[in-house]
Amino acid sequence: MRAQFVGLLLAIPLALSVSGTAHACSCVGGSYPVWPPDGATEVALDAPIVVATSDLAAVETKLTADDGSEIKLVEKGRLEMGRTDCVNHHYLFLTPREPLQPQRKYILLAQGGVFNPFWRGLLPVQ
Amino acid sequence: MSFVTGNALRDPTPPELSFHLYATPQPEGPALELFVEAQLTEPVFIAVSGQLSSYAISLPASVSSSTTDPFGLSLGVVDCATPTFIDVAGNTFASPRLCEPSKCSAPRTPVWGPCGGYPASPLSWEDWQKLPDGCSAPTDDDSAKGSDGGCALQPAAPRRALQAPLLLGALALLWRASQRRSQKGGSAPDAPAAR
Repeated sequence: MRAQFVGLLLAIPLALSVSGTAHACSCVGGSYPVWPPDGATEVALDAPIVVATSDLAAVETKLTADDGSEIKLVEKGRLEMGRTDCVNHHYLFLTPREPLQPQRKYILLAQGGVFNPFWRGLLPVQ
Repeated sequence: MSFVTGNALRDPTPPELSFHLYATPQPEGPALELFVEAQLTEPVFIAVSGQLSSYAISLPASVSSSTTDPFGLSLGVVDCATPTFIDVAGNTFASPRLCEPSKCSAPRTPVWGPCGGYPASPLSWEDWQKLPDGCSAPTDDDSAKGSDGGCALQPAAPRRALQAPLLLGALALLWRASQRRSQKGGSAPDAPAAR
């Protein structure tokens, strides 16, 4: 037991000494709206919508007007490159099926991915 | 998230981009690095396909806006690169073929994010501006280091990604040693008693 403990004490510094710096990395995953920006005003009536996601196959979006009516979104394209990390680096490009109404508030929700138990759009803005 | 509409339609004019290509010697050959200058009112998405990595990133409109802080990224060890620039509507508005670096830097290690991510430019914009134009031919002192494409190369820096295998190897050895001790000493201490 003592040999194991000593070996472990030797192994850990040896392993850490090869690296020089330790990096913190937290993999969140999930999906979130990129465009339009949260809280934006004077958004164009034909503004495209972009959602970043860690999993294009699982992403779900929903656009709702302030009167509760849902606006259908049409996919215009997607950008998916090799997965190089745990960050959401895939993009989904959408556009409202019909032009938005002027001077109205809209709520955009996006969800789906590895870990996203809440609809991102419902989380409080910081 | 929420937003409020105005009264106008979107201006579909694509942003103007300026590219500053430079080369950085790497053990595998010269790597192409890029600074992008743009005045953005909307984010721009960049797709890069390289030998070592392919990635997509976005230039947020809020931070990639000025000539005082262009956006830098690595294109990899390639002779030429063709990054694709996509607007928020999903349209490709630029895909320049970039081959000729205007400057060459000293050897630098590509900068990666803490989770990997895309390789950022190894030079800051301030450091890039201090570089002389052109890629000078290697001097006699540089000849021992080798050269390629007008950039002096230096020996490869040791890779620093061995800590995990080393630790796992050490733990495996410890586990095997404990197994042998257990076999020699009879049943494991925590083995269920025979009934």
